[in-house]
Amino acid sequence: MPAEALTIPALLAHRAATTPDLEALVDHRGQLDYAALERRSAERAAWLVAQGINKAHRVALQMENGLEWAINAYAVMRIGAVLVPLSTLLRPAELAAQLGIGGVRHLITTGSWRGRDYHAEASGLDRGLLPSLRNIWQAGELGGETDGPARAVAEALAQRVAPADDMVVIFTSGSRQAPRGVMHTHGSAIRSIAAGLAARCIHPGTRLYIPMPFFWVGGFGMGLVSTLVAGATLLTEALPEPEKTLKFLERERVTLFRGWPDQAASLARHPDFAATDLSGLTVGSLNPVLPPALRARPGARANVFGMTESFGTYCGYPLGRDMPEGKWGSCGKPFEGTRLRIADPETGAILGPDAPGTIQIGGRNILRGICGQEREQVFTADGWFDTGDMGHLDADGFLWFAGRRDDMVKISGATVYPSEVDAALETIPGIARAFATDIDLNGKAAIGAALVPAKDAVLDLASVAAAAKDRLSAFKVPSRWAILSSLDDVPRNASDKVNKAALQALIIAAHCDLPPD
Amino acid sequence: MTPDTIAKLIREQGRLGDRCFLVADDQRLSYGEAEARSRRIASALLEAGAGRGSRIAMLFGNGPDFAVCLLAIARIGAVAIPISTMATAHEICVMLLGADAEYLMATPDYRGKDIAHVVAEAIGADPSDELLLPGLPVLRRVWFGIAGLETGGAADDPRVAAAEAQGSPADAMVVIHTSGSTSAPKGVTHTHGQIIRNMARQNIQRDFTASDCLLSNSPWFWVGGLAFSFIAALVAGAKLVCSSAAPAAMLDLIEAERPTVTNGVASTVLALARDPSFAARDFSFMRRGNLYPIMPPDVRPADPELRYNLLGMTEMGSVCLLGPHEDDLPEHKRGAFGRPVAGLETRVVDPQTGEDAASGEMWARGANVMQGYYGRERHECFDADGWFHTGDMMSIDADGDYFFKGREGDIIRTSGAQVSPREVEGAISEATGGRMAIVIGIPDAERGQIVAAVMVGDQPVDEAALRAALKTRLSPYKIPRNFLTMQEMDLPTVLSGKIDLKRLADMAAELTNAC
Repeated sequence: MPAEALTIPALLAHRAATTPDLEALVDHRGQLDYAALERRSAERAAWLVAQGINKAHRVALQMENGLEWAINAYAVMRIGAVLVPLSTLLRPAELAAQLGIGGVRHLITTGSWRGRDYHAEASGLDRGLLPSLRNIWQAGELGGETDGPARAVAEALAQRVAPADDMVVIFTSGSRQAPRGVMHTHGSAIRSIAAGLAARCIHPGTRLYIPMPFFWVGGFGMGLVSTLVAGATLLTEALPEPEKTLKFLERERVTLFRGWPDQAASLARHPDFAATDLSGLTVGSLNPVLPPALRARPGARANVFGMTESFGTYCGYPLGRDMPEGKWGSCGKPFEGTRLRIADPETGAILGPDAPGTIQIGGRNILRGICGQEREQVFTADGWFDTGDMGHLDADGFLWFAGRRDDMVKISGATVYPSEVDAALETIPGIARAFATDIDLNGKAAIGAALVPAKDAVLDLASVAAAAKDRLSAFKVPSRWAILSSLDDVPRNASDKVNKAALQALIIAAHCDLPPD
Repeated sequence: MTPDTIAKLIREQGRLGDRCFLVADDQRLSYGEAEARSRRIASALLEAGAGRGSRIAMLFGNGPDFAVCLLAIARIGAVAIPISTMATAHEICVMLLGADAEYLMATPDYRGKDIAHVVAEAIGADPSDELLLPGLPVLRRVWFGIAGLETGGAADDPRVAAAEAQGSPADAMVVIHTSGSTSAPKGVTHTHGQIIRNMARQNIQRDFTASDCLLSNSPWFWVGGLAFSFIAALVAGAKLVCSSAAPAAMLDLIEAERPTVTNGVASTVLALARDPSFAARDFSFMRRGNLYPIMPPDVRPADPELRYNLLGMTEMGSVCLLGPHEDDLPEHKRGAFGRPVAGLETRVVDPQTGEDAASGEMWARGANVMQGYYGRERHECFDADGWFHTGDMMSIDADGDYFFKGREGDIIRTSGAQVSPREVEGAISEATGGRMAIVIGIPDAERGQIVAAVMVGDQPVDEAALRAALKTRLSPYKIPRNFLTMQEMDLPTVLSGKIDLKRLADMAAELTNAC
């Protein structure tokens, strides 16, 4: 990537000029090379300009992953309009709320998909409450223009997009609080992605599969923008289903598989997995889909770490390599352009090495702001963003994550991070996954945990509890346990994150208490 | 609690009904009219396709049209980009392009200037068409005058209320262009919340209330007029009077409207004080402010330099240093600028070391400080710790009062010593009984720079006598080596009327070399 290519139109032009025949994106229906992506996004942009879309207009896109998503998104961003990716999981009332918060001027929806008619739902919104919303289009209605005044203006707009211009408003998935519209500029988003590519093993020519939706930063930033910046290929699916996914990955010669570990694990469990040729997969891919010889030992590779506010990963370590001795289990070090510090969550005082506190990020790669919030609400006086994550930096600058501040629980006055309990329990033989949380046990706060046994393992709770006591301070050891038959029994919300309230209820209902000493 | 968006503010102040908000010569606007007229224009803007975040340039002089357009734009969450009535076609084009203006509302003419013609020249096309111009790719539409928008808009458009309900104090409200006395104009973005709260705090400090009437001719297209006059009056519920009339008519207006507070640039009212009718007028209603030449003798300072000055800056959302009182100061406080206003954290820093210093560059951050320069990334506007480097050199005394030493780039460095042009100008003024001088540095092969003084006016300068008088006031290295004279009308200026110091230095260097 040339140093000056800090805008989407500059990157598209660069790719079309240097790697025109390289596939940019492949889905089940077809493929687009970079020359075609540049050409078709330019034609779509000209059509949008002819319909009244202009620089800085917020344009929402609510559709499933695929080639059309990418063409529309790049058409919007290349003229300096601001993309607002919206979740296909949103219900009409949530859609109306995000259109309002995001100041959306134009909405593009998919048509009928998975039993819902998105265009009909959007058309049914009360437009009186959305006075700035001018157009609602179904993706299939959109045209393209190859010449004329709108095309000339669209080209002129692309020339003028600057790194300081807003590029995207991404809504957080809202697993802990109401969704927030996070604003990123072309400069912050592209710098953030570029800084993490090497550590994430995304190189020119990589064929990346990442089963995450484009409407969150996991799919949009970690997938779509990452491959554009790197000169790589993204393999994507509207709806991952193990059988089809395995065939797709074999046919498309995937080289890097990223995403959530649970997704990789469920593919590896599928009966077709053994017969599928995924021999192109390289290190850096998730462990469950790699051949044993390439797998990383637990904790050896960094937990690459990021969030919507940092436009994806901001911290990590080359995924193809083990971290140095003594750093296993850490999140690695901040990527170039990101500054990290630890603050006291109560006083805001900046803490030194090894002191636990709240993780704050600064520098040029972080968000510009949050829709509807003033700078003072979002940033510290000196311009840092408090992530809400807790952890510490060691003397060598490695970041150690402890848990979310919102998840931090007090048990008999002592601090417990459920994620820390999870990590400890998962080192016990026979336990594949653990999900700890705080529960109310007879009016008293306690830790409870749900366990998913490893394949063919039978868990004996007494020995599990004893093993937990070897690994955790007494107040962190769960008081009540639930044993689940598979990962599918873990209650999840629409965004596929663990539903905490349902998990608490499930553990309490299990009535399975720690045997007395 | 003060409302924190323009929409909430004008809804509330609209209840003042017939109470007068603005007087601009023969034009008047009540609070009720301001609310109702801006509501209609807001409706017309929504109908035309504008909405949240739309960037709307506006080119009007002070008056009701400016007021209702600004309020309408802000009410729907769009961003106003005021443009100076003095701007040339080229400057208008640069600002429309640089600030990504999608719409332009303009007066067709202003004080005899054919603005419509200048705008047509600026955009190089017929402004009455729907626009798709590769040279100005964001601009879509130009309106001349506001009559069409007012009659086109509905008085009871529910979309206006819906748009207002979505507004937030975090929304960008204006992009104000700096006047650019040392560089090209930059567009400075401020939000609703920061400007309104800043003015609400400063009104308390100025004791500016609904019972006041403010006389100020500061143009509203720059921050001093927009925030410290217009928004301040709107927040207070006060009356704002401005005029571009001839001296006698302006004096009549003042007599009729009875302003209690004055604000602006004193030199702009000298013509009023010189008017033959001035002596017979009774302006005893004026109690506070800084238009000293027309204020009654009992509130006028013995020496204007012995009153607290104001320091305003576009990047600070107008006034950033304000005095704690309006009484005469002791001699050792000559030239004092007061103290940082609330909503501002400041440091005075030695620019070489970055350490706090008794004298150095003023740095600022906090709620009043701009969001940034439009089109520039945050790290191009602020340092890594969030500080804005103002470029203003200041010293602070034991009471915390600030003293302006000049622009960072204006400090004259001669033979290793630093000379503050302001200090030398003040000494010349004292020594000559008030003659205006502009002190600049001229490049010099041996010394780096030499100190030169441009004496304004046509009287000859007795250099020997002046040097002798300055010797009692200044260290030898501060005394100008060269004295030049120049008529006031020959001084090079920038658009805002401020003196273009860079061009003046070039001219002075040429004159010096020619000698």
